[in-house]
Amino acid sequence: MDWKSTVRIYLLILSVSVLIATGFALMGLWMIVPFTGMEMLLLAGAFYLCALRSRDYELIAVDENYISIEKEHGASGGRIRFQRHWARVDLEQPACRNQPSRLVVRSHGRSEEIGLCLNEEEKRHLARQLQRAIAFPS
Amino acid sequence: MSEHGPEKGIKRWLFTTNHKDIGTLYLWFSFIMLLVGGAMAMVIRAELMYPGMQVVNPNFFNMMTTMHGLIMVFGAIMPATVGMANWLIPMMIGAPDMAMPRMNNWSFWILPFAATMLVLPMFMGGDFLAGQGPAFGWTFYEPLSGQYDNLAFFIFAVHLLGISSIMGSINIIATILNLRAPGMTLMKMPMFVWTWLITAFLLIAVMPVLAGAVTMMLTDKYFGTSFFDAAGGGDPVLFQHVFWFFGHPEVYIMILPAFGIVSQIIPTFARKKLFGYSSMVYATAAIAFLSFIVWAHHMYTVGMPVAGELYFMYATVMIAVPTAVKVFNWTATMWRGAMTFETPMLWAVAFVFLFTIGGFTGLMLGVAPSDFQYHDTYFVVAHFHYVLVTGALFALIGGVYYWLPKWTGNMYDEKLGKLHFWLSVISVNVLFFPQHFVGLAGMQRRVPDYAVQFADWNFWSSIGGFVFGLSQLLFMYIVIKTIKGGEKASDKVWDNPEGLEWTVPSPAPYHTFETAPEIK
Ligand code: HEM
Ligand SMILES: [Cu+2]
Repeated sequence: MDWKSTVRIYLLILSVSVLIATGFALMGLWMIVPFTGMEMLLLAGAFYLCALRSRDYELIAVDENYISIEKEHGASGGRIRFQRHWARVDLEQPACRNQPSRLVVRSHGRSEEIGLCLNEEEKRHLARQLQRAIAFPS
Repeated sequence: MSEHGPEKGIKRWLFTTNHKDIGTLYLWFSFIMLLVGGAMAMVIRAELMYPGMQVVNPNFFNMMTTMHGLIMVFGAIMPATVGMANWLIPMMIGAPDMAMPRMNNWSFWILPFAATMLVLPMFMGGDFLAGQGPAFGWTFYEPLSGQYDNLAFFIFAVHLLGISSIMGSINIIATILNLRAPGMTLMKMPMFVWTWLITAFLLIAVMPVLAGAVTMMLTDKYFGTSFFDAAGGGDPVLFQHVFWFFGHPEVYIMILPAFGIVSQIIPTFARKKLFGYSSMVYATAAIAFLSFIVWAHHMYTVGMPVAGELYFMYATVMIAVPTAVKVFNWTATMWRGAMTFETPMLWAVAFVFLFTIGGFTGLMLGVAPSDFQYHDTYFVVAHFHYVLVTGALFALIGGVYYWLPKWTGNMYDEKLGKLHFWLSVISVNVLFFPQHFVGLAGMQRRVPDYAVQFADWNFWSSIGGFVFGLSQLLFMYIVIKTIKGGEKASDKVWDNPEGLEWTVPSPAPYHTFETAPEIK
């Protein structure tokens, strides 16, 4: 859903909820208002996150000489290139068991994490695929 | 693509963010609650089997009616519909999972704590049989509820349940609005997805009202405010207005997803497209809108001005219009269809018949002058059990039979399924139909004893109740048997069913649609 419709739907829900809360507040039952407020904040946060994430992507391309990574994650993003012949793909295990592992491409002291949206199983899969893709001979 | 399996052991369930796992958790939780609430109903029917007091003391009886209602509404029906939503919505719209998987995990895991808070007071104070738990009715009217000693537990439980519902509905809305596969326009969505989208809007609109209401009960009791306390200038009738402003939409929150399930089942076994799809969507939206402006039909006898009585009467009777649209559409879908009656269809057809009976009694209750006689009698109890048991619960059970082969990869035992259906449908009518009669004759609800004139029908009602209760154990047996094994189900399972969930293998793989499917 594009940002405009998101805002429109949010405003629609907001106006209904505010109408209800105001009505009760006028009857003296003002304690509904803070709950409406909290709920609307939560909803706004959820819609915002979804909208941000719906623009997320990672583009990983491997050609003869380079691995290029282009990503967009929320507010941050950018592109980076690694020399294929020097690059390594590592799946780093987390220090603590319940944390996600990190899939990292590195060479020449630079590194970039990829596969941020993937679960463990999918990260392992991607790691294997990439390692195969950059292996010699191509 | 490789097979991405789940983790093993208890951690899989505790930390899962997979919509299918979470759906399964919701469904098992609600089934356990169905058994707990059902056991309480058995106590109620045991006491009411004969006039006079035999089995429990009055306070314990009141606690049973209260806890039965609360557990069935908040523990059984609502979580079951959310479980269905989790399992089905992503598959039906071609999404890989819910939009906010971690929040999804939270929504579920709050529930067991909420349920514990709710039932815990029953076991406090040492003497279980004295009935220490909430005994003020599932509607927790002030000022009675305000006199309850462990009110804080109840209020905390309601808050937790509310948070869970809100997070669940935000997740469902975000999923439906953001994660539809390319080509899955709103007006192509399966009815179940539509009904849940509208239900989620209802939940978001009314949950803060419930949260505010119980918080004001809390401050009235412990912090010296008097929102609902007449002695301090408050108004107990205002409490009823707030409660029903939440409560009436709440009954539609329970029935709309059931409408959705039935709208999926009937076309499959009638081998026709759903009749009047877009009118179904608009009717659902109309019902949802009207559900906000009829709440005081629960309060005809509190002494409203005549203009109020009239307004709420007309508004209430208007709901019959969109409801009838839905019933006619289901009937028209079956009309001249090549119908077969596998177990899911049996439940769906029974739903159409029996829910409609509940709709008719609803109309009778909606007429203010008639309601003066019916109010707070067993006629009301009969009404809402027809819409909730033979309505919501029947649709859910039918839905379980319909999608179980997709979930487990195995066919359920058709013979046992039919046995379960016939046992249930006969006993449920023996249980609830006579309650219309005793209600019209003046038997009050929520009273453990009654005049001997009501004895015969109450006896039959209890017999029906015991058989219906026991039949649900057969349901559990059938489901477990299907999970463990059985004839392998094909991917389509049924004869040409419509919907994306039938395009993936049976059992549905742990991750469906890593690449978006194509919608024709
Ligand atoms: C055809 C539309 C319906 C109409 C016109 C209607 C009307 C009414 C009325 C007027 C009452 C109040 C009776 C009284 O207390 O004197 C009532 C009670 C009730 N209705 Fe309905 N109803 C309808 C459908 C439903 C549905 C679909 C559900 C739920 C799935 C439902 C659930 C309930 C419940 C739970 C109560 C009892 C509340 C309590 O404990 O006091 N109704 N209905
Ligand atoms: Cu109502």
